[in-house]
Amino acid sequence: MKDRVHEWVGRLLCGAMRLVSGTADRWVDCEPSTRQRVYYGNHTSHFDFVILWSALPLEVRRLVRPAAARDYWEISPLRRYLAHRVFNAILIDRVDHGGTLSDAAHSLNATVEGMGERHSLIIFPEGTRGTGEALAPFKSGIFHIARRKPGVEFVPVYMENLSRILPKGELLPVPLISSISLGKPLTLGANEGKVAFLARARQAILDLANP
Amino acid sequence: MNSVEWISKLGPTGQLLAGFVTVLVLLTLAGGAADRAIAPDGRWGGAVRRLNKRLYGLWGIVVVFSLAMLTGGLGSILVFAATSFLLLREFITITPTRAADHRSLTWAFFVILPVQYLVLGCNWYGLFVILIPVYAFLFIPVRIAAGDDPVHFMERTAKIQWALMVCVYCVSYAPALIKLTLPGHEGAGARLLLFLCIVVQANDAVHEFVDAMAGRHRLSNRPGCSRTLDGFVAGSLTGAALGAVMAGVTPMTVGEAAAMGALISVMGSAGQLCLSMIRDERGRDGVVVVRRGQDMMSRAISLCFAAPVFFHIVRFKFAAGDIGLF
Repeated sequence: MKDRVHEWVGRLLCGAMRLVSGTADRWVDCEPSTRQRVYYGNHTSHFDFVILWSALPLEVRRLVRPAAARDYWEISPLRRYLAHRVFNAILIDRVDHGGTLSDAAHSLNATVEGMGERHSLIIFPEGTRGTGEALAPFKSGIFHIARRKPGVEFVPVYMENLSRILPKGELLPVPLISSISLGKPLTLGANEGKVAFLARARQAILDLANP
Repeated sequence: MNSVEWISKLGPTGQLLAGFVTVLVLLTLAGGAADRAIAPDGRWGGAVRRLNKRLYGLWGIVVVFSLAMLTGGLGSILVFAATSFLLLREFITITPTRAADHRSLTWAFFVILPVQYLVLGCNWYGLFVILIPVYAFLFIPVRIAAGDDPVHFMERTAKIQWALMVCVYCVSYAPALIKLTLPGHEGAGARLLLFLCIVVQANDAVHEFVDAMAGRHRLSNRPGCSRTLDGFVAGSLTGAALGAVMAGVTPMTVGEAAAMGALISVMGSAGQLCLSMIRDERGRDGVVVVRRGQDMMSRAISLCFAAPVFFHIVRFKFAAGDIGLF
């Protein structure tokens, strides 16, 4: 019963967010599926995660967990509620540039454990929100997840215009029309190195941006 | 009771609506038959499909108009306010703006647009006509300047102002027709709104149909523009004919109504021409997320251009004459 309530909170949130952002979904060479996947996208707005989440069918959404920064989501009771009960987020301790290698390993472990055998993951491999103009280089976490979870599909996601709807540092959204594109899933090649995989994954998003 | 008595009992508004619905029913039946009779691919099939799509839009007008009648104008103000909102959203989406414009855009969506329709609802004619051309015109550049980003300052200011003028100011003239005080013609405002909508839609449909099927003299050599002089003339003549037919339910004489029908058609065609320019300029750069199904602008731009001109001519000729009133 309680879970149903949390789910409806999530659905209402999705509806409201889609109303504001008028999002059009495009599935390009990709079908919705409940198999274990990693959805990775460009990050330009606070709306990104909810828009991506709302683009997934409900039965997929139930199995998806976003990786989110603990310091952001545990700051208030509302955010804590949303992160734990509604989004079922995997909260990660953010690793700063000064962080040690073991911090990074700890985050990776937490992420992979959070996925388990059936949960999919949403991550933003640029690490931080960009301006919406250029796609920043990817952090290597996505590669390490790929190595730890062989066979898991990586679905590139490109979100357009969300940075105009709610740019960094603004409170009120401008209700423009946006779009979200989910592209052809890719998997880590047998002998593929870190640099090659990160470049391929990043290129998949750029290809969605400029079809 | 014979049918003549029954029709005269309906009153002018009922007559107009009944006539319109009758024609729509006939057109919808004909459209359905044509759709089944003609192969879906090929020139005729495409043209018939587009005409049928427009018919659904006309049924929408019937609903909006009936709503306006039932709620004494408030319903139509809300419907047109929502239309403005969706148009503004679509227009700004295809317009390149910068991060520093964010605040002026929130003002446009959440303050200027609602206030324009609020002022209309309050019958405040004096502010209604100058809110956007004067006050928003002065406010928008100041708000953008406060963002301290000089890149393309003039273009951004002009684009946001143009968007407000077309999507909010011009559209708001359509429901404003209902507010007009026309001595000796009480309630004619709502019929004038229907008059405007019917002529605009008919001109759009005929223009597009003739362009596609019989147009010989193209108005432009741009590949994206298929508009022809033949379509323009056919649309204007259709507007004039429809105007003359509907003259009886308006304060206008048959000649005046025909002239107004032609003028509305010409303004509508002018709007479509401007929109095709905008489309060509934007092309694929910027954003392509406005899907065809959501493409409201191409259906509304004719009304945007025709409504203010129609409103002011009617007001000049027939309204009460008190300068501060609708």
